[in-house]
Amino acid sequence: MSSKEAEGLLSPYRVLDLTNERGVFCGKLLGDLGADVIKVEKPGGDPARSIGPFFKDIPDPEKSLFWFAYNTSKRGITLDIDTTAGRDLFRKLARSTDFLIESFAPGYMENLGLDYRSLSEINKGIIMVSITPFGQTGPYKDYKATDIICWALGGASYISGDPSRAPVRISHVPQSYLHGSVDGAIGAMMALYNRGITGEGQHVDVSIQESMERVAYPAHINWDLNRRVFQRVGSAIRIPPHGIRTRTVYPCKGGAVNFYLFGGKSGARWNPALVEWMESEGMATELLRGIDWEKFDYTKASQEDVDQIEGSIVDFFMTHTKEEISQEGFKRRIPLGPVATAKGIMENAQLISRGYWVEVEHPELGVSITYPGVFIKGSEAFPQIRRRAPLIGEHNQEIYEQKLGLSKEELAALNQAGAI
Amino acid sequence: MKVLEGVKIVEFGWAIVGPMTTQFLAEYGAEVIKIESTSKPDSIRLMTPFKDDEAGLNRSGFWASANTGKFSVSLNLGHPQGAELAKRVATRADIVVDSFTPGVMAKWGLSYEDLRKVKSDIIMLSSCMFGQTGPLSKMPGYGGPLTAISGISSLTGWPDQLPSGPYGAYTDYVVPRLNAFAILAALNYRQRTGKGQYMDISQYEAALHFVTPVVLDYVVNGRELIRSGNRSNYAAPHGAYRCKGEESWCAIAVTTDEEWESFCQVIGSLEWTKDPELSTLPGRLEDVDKLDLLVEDWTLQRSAEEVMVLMQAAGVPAGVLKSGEDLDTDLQLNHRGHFCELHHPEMGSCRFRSQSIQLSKSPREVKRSPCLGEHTDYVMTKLIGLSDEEFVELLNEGIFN
Repeated sequence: MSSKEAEGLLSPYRVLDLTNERGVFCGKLLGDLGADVIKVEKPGGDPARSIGPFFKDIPDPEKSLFWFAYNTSKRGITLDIDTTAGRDLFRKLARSTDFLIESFAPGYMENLGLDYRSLSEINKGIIMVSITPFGQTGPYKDYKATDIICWALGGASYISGDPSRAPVRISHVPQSYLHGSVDGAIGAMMALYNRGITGEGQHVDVSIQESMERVAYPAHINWDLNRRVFQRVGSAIRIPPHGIRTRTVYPCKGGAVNFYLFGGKSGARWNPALVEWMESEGMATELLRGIDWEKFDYTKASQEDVDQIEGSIVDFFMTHTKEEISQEGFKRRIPLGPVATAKGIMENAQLISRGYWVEVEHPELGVSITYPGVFIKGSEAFPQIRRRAPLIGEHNQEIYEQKLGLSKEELAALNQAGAI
Repeated sequence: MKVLEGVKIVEFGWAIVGPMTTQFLAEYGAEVIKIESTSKPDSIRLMTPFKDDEAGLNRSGFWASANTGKFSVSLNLGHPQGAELAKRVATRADIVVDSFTPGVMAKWGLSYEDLRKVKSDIIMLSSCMFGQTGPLSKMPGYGGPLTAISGISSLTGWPDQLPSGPYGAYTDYVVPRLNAFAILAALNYRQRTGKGQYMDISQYEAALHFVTPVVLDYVVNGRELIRSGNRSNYAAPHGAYRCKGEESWCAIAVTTDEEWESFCQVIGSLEWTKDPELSTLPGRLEDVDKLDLLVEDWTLQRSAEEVMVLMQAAGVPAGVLKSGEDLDTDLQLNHRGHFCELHHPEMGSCRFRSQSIQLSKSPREVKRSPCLGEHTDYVMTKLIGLSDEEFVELLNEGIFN
């Protein structure tokens, strides 16, 4: 049996995926583990297909790399649930699905008579997963939010970035949607397990704002414990109570590396190793050589001391590339990570040795593209990504004719009516 | 009934990833026993902030926030009897989670093979930095370097500066989610088939799924995308704008032409907004620096809250950049019951955070974090079945250090 057909962890399950960019990752997680995921899009395609970057920089709904990334292993149909005929078809599909994932504004599905309560009447085992910026209820439920808004309201922006500039989010990939989507997948799995005991599904309600609040981990804790408002420090971390700032990013030759003088037990282990390396190249300063790392206490050091120590490390790192630094760091057991870009990631020997990368065919583009593979390796069945993201309406025939038993004429009529 | 009621998990974790993985499940009803050691406490127990800035193994808010809802058992795993007891605790459970460097669990006789001999359907997840195999597998994992190695750091900050990264060890908040998902998929698989399994998750491999589009862009377009501040190629204005007051910011994101028109109305249809160049997105993207300054002229005169409320009323995405203090009083978070006020024996009254998932038929509950070794006695005598005499004997031999 080829790995494509191997039984996966989630092989018996069917998923209807109505999400937009806020929730597509959820369906991918389920699909890559073997679930039969049907991506349902409005005729003409989901707006998420307009998110770049694009294949060869051609803005085209069938060339969005964001869409490719988060819709692997899914089949695709078009369906307009805003039409009566569309809703009828949808209910037919919902009758035999295990999961329904959606990310519409709260109330939208209810207005269409497709809320959990209504659907559970035709399928008592259905598990509905809703992924929205704030959840289904509450004072912000009707607020509109994009990724940067979710970062802001979750508290993650306030604590990130250079203090002399605006607080920042992570660029290019909408992280908040991904956090919310994984939480949706967790909720789906919990509800599934519970269904195994009770025989009933339920509604899973994810708030991306709550997901992001965890990402902003020091913000609330510092307020709750000591009534301190945690401020951003750029590429550094702050150590209470005096707020001593210690770097996390050090420039080096041609790039940068991540490193921090941890202090305490951890620092006592690797700082001497770093100083030893510097010493072997004649670059350990007197100050550095004189420090007893076992006794070094950040909470008592001055900012000036810390700046001086870090300055001498910067001078040293500037004589080496990030590859040299991380390789030597590995040998000497010092956590020194290169600040990597995609190139470094693709060249990483560890990933290659573990067979992480998979080639996924895109026949209509005439290429196969390298993707990150399923992130779990293990003793049971883990099929790889089974197929690329679907084209718009790619499986209409397969699903409407074969699965629902519609005739070609019926399909054509629905097409005409704009339901498909 | 909580969804994971009756599910038993044992955690051999340290730092953040292992602990946060099981914490997810504790909130939804799983019994989580965390194995610690009073003689070798997790260094995170001594990470700031401390309650009242007083250091103490049970006073770290950082540790507490990642370890709510668990039992804490102290065992000296280096002692053969300690390891043996750990095995008894582990094999009583459904799921074992570890985040140690490869080889460490095996050294203690706690590898998947060891545990499976006693409990054939056990589910075990090992989640270390680089995975169980490969040239870098023995490198101890920290979220700080991993955030850099996974490309996240280079995607955060301003293009004319060193990458600033999101604050802290970002991947520590990515990986536990993916781990929890994997464990639950395995749990379901076992419910269906009766089979357990071993899962080797490399934190690196998991985290990379959060940058896939950037990787694909390199593969097909040969480009290495890097940080771009708060810019977006698909929206303008798009950013965090300074408002009235100290460190007061509001994010605004205008994507469609409709939103642009609403935006203009909200700010009073100022002269500059009537420039026809600005009526389309490409036009607005032409000179975003200037656009941002003009927007900020307006926002600087208002509080962040006011900016958000006015924009949202007109259907324009906007949100206050919430500080730690703002989060505490945030109406929506409180509506969701996100912070749970609980009493901790050493830290006093704390508001512990919860997860983002609510289930319509099953409650979630955050219970306070444990003190180090707080439940050793309970777990050993009530759950494992040691007699009081056996317990005291082992205690005196230092097995529970």
